[in-house]
Amino acid sequence: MPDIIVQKLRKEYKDVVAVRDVNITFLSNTVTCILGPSGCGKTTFLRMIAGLEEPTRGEIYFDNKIVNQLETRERDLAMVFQYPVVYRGLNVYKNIELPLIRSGISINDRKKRIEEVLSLMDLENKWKSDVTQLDNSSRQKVAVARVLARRPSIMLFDEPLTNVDVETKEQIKKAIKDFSRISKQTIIYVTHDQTEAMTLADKIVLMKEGSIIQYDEPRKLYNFPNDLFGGWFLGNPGMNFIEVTNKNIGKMPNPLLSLLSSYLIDGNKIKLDKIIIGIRPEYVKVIENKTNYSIKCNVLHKVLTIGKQYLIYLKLNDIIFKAKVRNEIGKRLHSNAWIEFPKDKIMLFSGEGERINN
Amino acid sequence: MIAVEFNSIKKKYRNNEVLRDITFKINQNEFTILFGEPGCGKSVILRLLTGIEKPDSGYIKIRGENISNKPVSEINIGYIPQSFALYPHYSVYDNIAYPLKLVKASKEEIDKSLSKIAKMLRIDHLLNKKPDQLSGGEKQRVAIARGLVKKTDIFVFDDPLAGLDFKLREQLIDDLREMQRLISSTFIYATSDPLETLMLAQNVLVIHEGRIVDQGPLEEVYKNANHIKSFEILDFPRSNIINGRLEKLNDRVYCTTEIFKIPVDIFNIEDINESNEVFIGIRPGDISPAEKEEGNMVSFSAKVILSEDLGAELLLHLESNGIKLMSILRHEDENLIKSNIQNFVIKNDEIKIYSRQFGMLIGQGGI
Repeated sequence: MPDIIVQKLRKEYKDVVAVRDVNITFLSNTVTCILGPSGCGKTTFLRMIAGLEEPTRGEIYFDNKIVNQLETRERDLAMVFQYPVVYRGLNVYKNIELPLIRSGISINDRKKRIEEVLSLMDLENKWKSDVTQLDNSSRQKVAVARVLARRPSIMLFDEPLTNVDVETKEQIKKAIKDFSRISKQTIIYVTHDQTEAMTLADKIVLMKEGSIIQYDEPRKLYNFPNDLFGGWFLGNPGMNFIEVTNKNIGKMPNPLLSLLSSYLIDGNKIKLDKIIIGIRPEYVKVIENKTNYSIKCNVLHKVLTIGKQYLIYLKLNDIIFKAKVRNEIGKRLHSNAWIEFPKDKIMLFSGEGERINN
Repeated sequence: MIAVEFNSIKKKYRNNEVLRDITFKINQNEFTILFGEPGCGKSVILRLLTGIEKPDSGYIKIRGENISNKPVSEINIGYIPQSFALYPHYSVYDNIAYPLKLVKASKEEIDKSLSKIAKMLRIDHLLNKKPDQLSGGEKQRVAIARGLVKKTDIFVFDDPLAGLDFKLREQLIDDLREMQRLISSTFIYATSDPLETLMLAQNVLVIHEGRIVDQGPLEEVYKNANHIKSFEILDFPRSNIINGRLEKLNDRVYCTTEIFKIPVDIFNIEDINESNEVFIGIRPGDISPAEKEEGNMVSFSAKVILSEDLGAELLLHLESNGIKLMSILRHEDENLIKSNIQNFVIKNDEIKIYSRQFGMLIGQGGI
């Protein structure tokens, strides 16, 4: 299966730059998710790889073969869209079979592959149904099943879970995950949903305003964002940011300053105009009593959140930030809390937003 | 003081009973959420409250006055709709100023209220732009500003964050809470989103099939949900509901399910006679991977079908003896999962027993 190599790829629509001179290699035998907010250019990027949009500039290679001039059908790829694309008037079985017939696959092999994907998608009892009788979620399962049965060398998914019900979401995620474990395909999956990306991807391409911000393994991207955007965009809620400048440094408590030690001059000035301390809410450690490294904060309020945890809104001087803590810790908190920022969980960013610590 | 009172309100559309005997009171300056699944009747309550529609029976009092015969214009409630609904040819300023112009407010008055609200919602730099120059989050902030600029003390929100992506919602949730604090008014807010409800509500009314099935301070309702529906939907992810059967053995009541059997405490023993079949409610956050159970826990073996990474948490899709369950744990507890088939535990007293017939809480796991 081919690697997809993209060089200086750009797409402009009138005065809007949708994709901005991106360079990246999508590896074979790998699920790569392109993650970003709506309007970041991720779907345009995918459509150029599929041959559905013509790049303004730049090259797309499948291994060492340039494919810019090839039609979609000449690229040996298949794509699943946001809305299910099915052949109306054909039943579920025929829908999955049609591309296999076109690819010249033998009848026995077809049967085997189709039975496999019907089972994977829990469609065994619906194989005879006309697709027009199915709801949207089941149709999308058919669309995914068709791609998985065909096994093209490249599989592209454009937010396939946007319009399906919760149960179908789980099934499709599980099917793609299980399939990718045994397949050697090059899979690219576009989504704005970080949970989908973190769950399915071997690698994530994080995009913002047409550019690639970071390319990394999911946990690495989550724990070590290269810039403020990655810290903010991933996480629910995103990372806390505390700005330190030479104006406000006098108000910063010592445990916080000690995190900046390598950027301090004379212990009370920073070498840069601004340093931004980033920490994810779940890594803020809320403790019962004062320690040498703890900081006293006011508890502004607390709310219940995902999985019975509490999200605590804390105030330190003029800085407001959040801590996500276990239920038993959260319910004991009242007006004050002692907190620690574990050094290994701290990210430091420059005023321009780039991470400066390792 | 009571801001809003509904008394025995009923409403039908043709033969469809959408509200069945709704009674509640909302105190002044509180943030109350009407929470329920789509179609439960919460939007109808909002329409009655604003006076756009009238109930078939019962009465509604606003600020202590019966509104049955009052025209909408005299009820004076700020309304923030679900969709942006901005006038595309007006600037942001004119969009927000529109409700004030309708009541013929002076230019100074408009400027004063508008700049205050725009500043609070961080849209003061956008006042000269047109709606199509704004992002989704900015548009919804403008819609919220237009509702909040009205001179009133009661504001009604009809699922204002529905359809927005979760990063926008994250910011707007914090903004809405801050707005309510700053303008100290009564906020009545309808949503079907459990996280919005958990993060915003002081009080919650849980609506199900046209009835209020639970109401009170949010944490009370969360801890002691009286009805299976509020237990199920007021959590993220949704709570697990499985079937159980009660039986008496040597003066002790036990509950048997497909995956465990536990002693249970039934609050009113007469509830057992009504039916032995019950629903069991378990919150995903109460199911934890563990090698061994302690004395006050039940344990069961389950297969991890899918593990989803939420960043700070892991969401596990489990299957045990044909029963599907969800469990959620902090990411740092990932090392507790030793294999694909794994032992899980639940504290007995976190297992809630609900009547299958009426949906009411009748007991919980005991020791």
